[in-house]
Amino acid sequence: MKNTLYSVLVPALTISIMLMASAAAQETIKVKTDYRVNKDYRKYMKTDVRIVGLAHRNSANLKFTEDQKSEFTFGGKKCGVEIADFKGEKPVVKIDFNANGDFEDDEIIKTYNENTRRGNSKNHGYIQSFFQREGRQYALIWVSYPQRANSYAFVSDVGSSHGKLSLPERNGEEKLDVDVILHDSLADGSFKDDKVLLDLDRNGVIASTSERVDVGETVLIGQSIVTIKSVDEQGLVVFEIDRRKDDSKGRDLLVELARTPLKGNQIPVFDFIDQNGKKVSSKDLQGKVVLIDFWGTW
Amino acid sequence: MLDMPAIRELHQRYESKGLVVLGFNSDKKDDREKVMKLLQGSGYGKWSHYLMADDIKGDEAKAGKKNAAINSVTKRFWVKGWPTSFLVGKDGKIISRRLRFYNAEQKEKSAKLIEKALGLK
Repeated sequence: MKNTLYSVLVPALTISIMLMASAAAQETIKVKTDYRVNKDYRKYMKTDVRIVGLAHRNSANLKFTEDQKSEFTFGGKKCGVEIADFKGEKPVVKIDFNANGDFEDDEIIKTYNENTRRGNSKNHGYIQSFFQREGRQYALIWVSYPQRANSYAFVSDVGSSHGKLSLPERNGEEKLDVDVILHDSLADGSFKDDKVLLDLDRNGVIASTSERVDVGETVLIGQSIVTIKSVDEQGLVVFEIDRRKDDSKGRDLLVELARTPLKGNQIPVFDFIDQNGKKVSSKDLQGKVVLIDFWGTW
Repeated sequence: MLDMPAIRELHQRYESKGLVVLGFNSDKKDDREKVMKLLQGSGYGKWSHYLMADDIKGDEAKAGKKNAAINSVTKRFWVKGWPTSFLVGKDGKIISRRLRFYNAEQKEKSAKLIEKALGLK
């Protein structure tokens, strides 16, 4: 156990120093689209685009009119914004990040909408889009937290193996910056299906889980529950964090976690009468491989 | 819904090898007719479905709260999105919380996990 920890921590710490050295050149862009939708939402929309960089801060309230276009200033340049599409009531926004007047090089190239925010639903995190800016690949990620009412977006430089997760100050909770390292455990440079290392306790030690983490799994890293949502080809890991601040809550969380149906834990007990009146019980399924699918017609 | 055709395929392929498929349906009672029609018409009814809205167990359900039965089951399984598919091994332990079927790669990965669990490989 000790050996494993050592072997994980040593490369992680080395990268951590590199990360600090390159932090000055690093830039964080947040685009928060907080939309107020009228009944005829296609015609009028107010979107808050917030861009946070180390050198400058910029926040803009964009008003989209009937032509579904708007603009904002980023880095002294006027960047066009266009609503590309609607997924339900959620707009997919194209941003002309390189301010060359078109969306060719910086256009959203992929859009995920796996977990559309419905009403005030929480606990979701997903990739909103990918885009390129000045030759670097970014991903716009939407993360939300159970105790916080709002969702946050952050952008990570997916071209490299490290990044920062920045949670803004909100609802009385302090700002939190967390180092993120993608541990290239296969050493093939792909970072695909690799471990995620996070400095969630902010003690400078990048904690790792003791086992390999696959997409869809929920693991305890430090004192935080982290759900790995996806890993893309560039090695970008999208995750959802359930962060609890003080120790008592952390302990509660650990207790809760022990009872949570995670990978490796026992499946909860159930019994029901199926659509044909047949009784199904988890007890009778012992010794069998079972696929349980939660589904709905919506 | 999106994953149902893939699950039907897996059911056909592995039922004889010992795979048990269970559908936990999360529709409200009002949509019952729609659910039953789907189960009858599509072949999805070949495996057992837990129509969770029907379940009246649990304290919340007793208090008459709407969707209480669905919520109590999904809470216990920690389901946070739909569809969510679990794979449970012969020892009753969870092998995966998220079997996915959206594309060919995911389908193959899921099928491989099932084969491994069944001891076919």
